[in-house]
Order: sequence, then C-alpha cells, then structure tokens
Amino acid sequence: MEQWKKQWTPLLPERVAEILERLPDDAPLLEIRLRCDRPLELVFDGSDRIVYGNNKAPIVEENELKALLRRLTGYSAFAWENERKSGFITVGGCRVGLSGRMIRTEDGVLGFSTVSGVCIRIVREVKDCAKPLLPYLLCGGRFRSVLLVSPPGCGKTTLLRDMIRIASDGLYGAVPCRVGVADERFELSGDANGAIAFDLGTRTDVISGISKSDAAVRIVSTLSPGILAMDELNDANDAKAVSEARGKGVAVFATAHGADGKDLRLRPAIGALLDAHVFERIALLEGVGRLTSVTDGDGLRVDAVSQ
Amino acid sequence: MKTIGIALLFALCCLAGVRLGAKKAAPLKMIRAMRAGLQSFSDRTASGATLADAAEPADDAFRERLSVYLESLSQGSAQADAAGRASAAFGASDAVRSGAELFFCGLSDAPRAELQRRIEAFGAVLARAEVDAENESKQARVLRSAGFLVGTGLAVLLL
Repeated sequence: MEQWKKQWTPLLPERVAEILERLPDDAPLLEIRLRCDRPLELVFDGSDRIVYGNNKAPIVEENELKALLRRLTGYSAFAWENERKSGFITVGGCRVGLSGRMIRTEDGVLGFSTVSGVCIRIVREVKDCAKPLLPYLLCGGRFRSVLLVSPPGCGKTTLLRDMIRIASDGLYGAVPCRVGVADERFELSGDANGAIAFDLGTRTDVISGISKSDAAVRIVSTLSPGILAMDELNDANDAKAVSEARGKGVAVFATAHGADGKDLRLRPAIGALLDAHVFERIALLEGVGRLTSVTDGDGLRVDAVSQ
Repeated sequence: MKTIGIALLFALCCLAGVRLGAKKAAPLKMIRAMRAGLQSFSDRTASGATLADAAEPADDAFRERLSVYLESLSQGSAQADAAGRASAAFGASDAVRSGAELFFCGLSDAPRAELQRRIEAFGAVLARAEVDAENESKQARVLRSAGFLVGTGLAVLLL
C-alpha cells in the first residue's frame, strides 16, 4: 500500500477511507476535499472526481467532520490554535486547509466557530524530480538563486524539497552546501514531533512553526547557510527577508504562486524582488512538476548548461 | 501459652491500627501524585505539546487516566462518556471525581485559554482534596498509635 494510503485511511471517515482504498496505489491523487453534507471531491493530476453516496447522498456528515478534526489534531485543539487561525493545520507534512465560519474580534481572528470543509493535500517525496532543473541552476557547482513559479498544486514544494536535498548532499555535480530552511507550515520538513520527516539532506537546518520571514532572519544570522530555502513568498516581510539574505551573500531557493512573470509583477512584494534582480533564475512550472521555461533576472529565456 | 496469646493479641491490635491507618493515608499519596502530574501536564501543554505528548513524562496516575480519556475518544465514545470513564478512575473522593469529570469533558476541543482555566480549576479541587487527605493522614497516625497503645494496655492488664 502506498504511503499516503497508510497515512490517511486510519484518520478519515469510514466511507471516505473505503473509497480511497479502492483507488489504485499509483493513482495520481493530489487532494482530498471533504465538505459537510456534500459529496467527496478527489483531485487528480489533470482531473477531478466527485463521489456521491447511494442515491446521491452526501459522503461526509457534520459529526464525521468534527471527529476527523479531532483525530487530525491528536484530540488537542489547543495545540493547533495558531495554525487554525491561519486556516490550516499540518499533519505529517501535509497541509490540511480548513473552511467554515470564522470568529473575528477587535484583536483579529479568533478562530473557527464551525469547520464545514477540509482540504487535504497529499504530499509525496519525489527524489530526483529536481534533476532536470539543475543544468539551469548550477554555475561551477554552486547554485544560483531561483524562484519557482506555478499555479497552486503543480509541485513547487516537492521540487523545492528535492533541490534542498541535492544542494545539501552535493549531488549531481553540485558542491555540498549548508541549507537553512524557513518552514513556517512544516510542509518542507514534514513535522515528526519536532524532527525532520522528509529527506532534506545531511547539511540542512530547519526552523519551523514561526513566520517564514522571522525564521529566515534567524537562519541567516545564526546558522550561516550557503542557501536559504523558503516556500511560498507572500508579503513584504518575506520579500525583505529574501533581500536581506541575498545582500549577505546567501543564495535563495523560493517558490511563489503565479502563472507567469506577468502575474508575479501584479504582486508588489514579489514584483519588487524581480525588479531588483534578486533571483538569477525564474523557473515556470505547468501541470504537476512540468518545467515550461527558465528565465534569467531580466526575463530572458536561458538554456541548460551541462556541468 | 499465655505469653504467646498475649503476644498475638498485641500483634493483632497493632496490625489493625496499621491497616486502618494505611487505608486513610492512601488517598494523600495518590492526590499528591495527581497534582504533580497536572503541573507537568500544564507545563508541557503550554509549550504546545498535544494531550498524549504532554502526559508522557507525567506521573503514572495522571497519565493512565488521560490515556483512558484519549482511548475512549479514539474508539468513538462521546465526550461525556470518555470523561466519565477517565474520572471514574479517580477513586479519591466524590469531589475529586466530579472535578476530574469537569476537567475532561470536552478537553479535546478546548482552546488554550479554556485548557488553562480547566487546569487551574482542577488544580484547586486537588489542592482542597490534599488538605482533606492530610487531615485523614493525621487520623491514620492516631489510629496506628491507638492500635499500639490498646495492644500494650491489654498485654499489661493480662499479664
């Protein structure tokens, strides 16, 4: 049985687990979406499937969703309070997005009063998936700073994780290098009770559980990395942390949501990074892990260079 | 023969005193262990540990009861049933049992502030129970001494 089945079937409601067990082990499942009193949605690479119960009955009921949340949080809602405020929890390196009714106070968001939907993103560790990208990134065995860009669900995080492993272990012509990972949501390292669950290489240090920008500042100032890795650049704080790291001679591996360079420039913080030529390479992905183009800081297409 | 009889009577009186005293002294040990367990649980949960992880280094008495609660929930029991089972294991007194039930019921869904409030409330129940148990423990010492004195008195009279 594939790892994701072993991980998820004991946690999910019985009817959902039965449906998943019937899927072939190599099914390219990306997401499991459960909504209260609605059918189940399974998202595959390139397609999705809506699964109803008998007589078009819903697959997941309210009490099953509540029980699922209890299992996902280890019966300890308090331990995930901050994450829940941000609309997600992370279970074994998989991000579980939540939807429902939230409560707002004068100080900000208090949390969910009712959770009506859960979106589980299946994480797979795909070793060597970053290998086709290496000829664009390596220069004399050293990595250039790179921004991986794609719409959600195209495997940026998986690719980034493999790049970290290759850089850290010095594989395929790369010079071994210390990598610091700012892992706000435990998605790169996978949370195994504070330990690193995924293979991120031998020279990798991770700071997780705090904002990416705060983690990046600590990594650069205390762990002296050669490369800083950050998943999903979002705001001005993230952009500032990347600029600071680059200014201190640290290469940066980062990802951002977007369909292309034009999309990215609509986001002020990321646009400013591109204008400042902080990234030496921008790799665009389409579909799951499919590399469409690699450009330099000026937006000019670059060719692969064999090492 | 008479001496053996007197010695047996003396031993019997002392034993009765010790046994009655031990019964009264037992809750104090359990309550103290429970308070220590609750304190360690409080420290661990404050640093973000889940219920199962927080109970790990705690005293056996506390950990076992928390395990009963978590196992009941994982087997699909309702909150009230799981809390009932966990608190039934608190044999100390009715006050401690109902305090435990209030602590456990809905614990898995409690936000951090609520968890802290519950820890404080249950801690207060245990503190009161400890005072009661200390009084009982004093009575236990009196019973042990009384057993010895009665035994000695009877032995002197019979001799």
